[in-house]
Amino acid sequence: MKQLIETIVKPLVDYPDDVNVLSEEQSQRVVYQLSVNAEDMGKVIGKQGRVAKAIRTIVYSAAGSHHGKKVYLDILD
Amino acid sequence: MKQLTQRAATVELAIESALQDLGVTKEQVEIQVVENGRKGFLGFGVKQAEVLVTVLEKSKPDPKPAIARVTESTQTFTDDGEILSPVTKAPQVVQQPHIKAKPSENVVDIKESERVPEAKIYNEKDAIEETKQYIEDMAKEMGIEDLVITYETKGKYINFQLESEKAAFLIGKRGQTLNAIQQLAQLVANKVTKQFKIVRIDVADYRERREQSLEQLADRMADRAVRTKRQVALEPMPSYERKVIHNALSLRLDIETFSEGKDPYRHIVIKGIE
Repeated sequence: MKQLIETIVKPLVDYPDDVNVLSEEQSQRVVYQLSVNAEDMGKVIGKQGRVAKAIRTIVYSAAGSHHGKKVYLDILD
Repeated sequence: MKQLTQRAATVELAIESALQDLGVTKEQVEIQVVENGRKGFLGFGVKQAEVLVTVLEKSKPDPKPAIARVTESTQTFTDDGEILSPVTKAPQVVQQPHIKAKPSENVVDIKESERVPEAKIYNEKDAIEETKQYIEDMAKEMGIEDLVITYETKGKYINFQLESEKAAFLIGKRGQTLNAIQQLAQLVANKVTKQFKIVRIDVADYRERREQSLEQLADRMADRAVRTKRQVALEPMPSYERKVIHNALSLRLDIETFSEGKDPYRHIVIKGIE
């Protein structure tokens, strides 16, 4: 899962080395926290959150086949 | 006989530029319209006009017939301007110096426009390979192992065709996942190229089937708008799906369509005309 998020985000940003994904498991859900270089924030969010929405769509659809828990994706600034 | 095929936005423009390339007047040629141009709808289905211009043999000033015939038989399309100028030099240079200048300009134009695509194709290849790799990586991480990607380019469009056993999974609900992948792939493609590219991804002819069901939906909703005499608002859709609906209903005279709201919530509204 982490790997998927990194695969999606890294080619989009200018500083791929600064892409970091942390996962936090809670009782009902798994939260993935994505952090990128401050300059790349706009790139992963996009106009009107378009890119963020696309990333989430893919992550959520992949999550169904991975585990039973609900998956969330946070983008940290 | 000298012939030249010329394409342009309209028939008039095509003829004009063909005459300029050949350095002759309208009276000296026979013009045959191969294709009437079409303006298209919202940039869709645009077709360039094409004319075939044939220079009539007898009206051509021909001081040295032997040489002229040789050059004529060996010339190719792009060489027209270059070969033409020495032949027409003697009779025309004094009367109309500007006509002679124009064909040579055109020769430069042609050569430049030939060189640019070469560089573009090279760049494009990089971009396409990179984008293809990106889609492959993404699919692999999503648990799809048997993905086969083929692609074709058409102007600014790059079309990817994906094949997999788990096509439904790649498409998602109403193409959500597919649209998300397409959007991200477009970002990656445009990161590599300088020229703006539009990436289109299709899985197992999904787009075609979707287009058909959208057209059916459009017709049904239009009927409802007429019957109930109220506006019918459709759910939000991406721009190209809206275009399909606008296009499908453009021929109906009893309703009109327009879009409301801002992306990503922009949606079509169908309104009956009293």
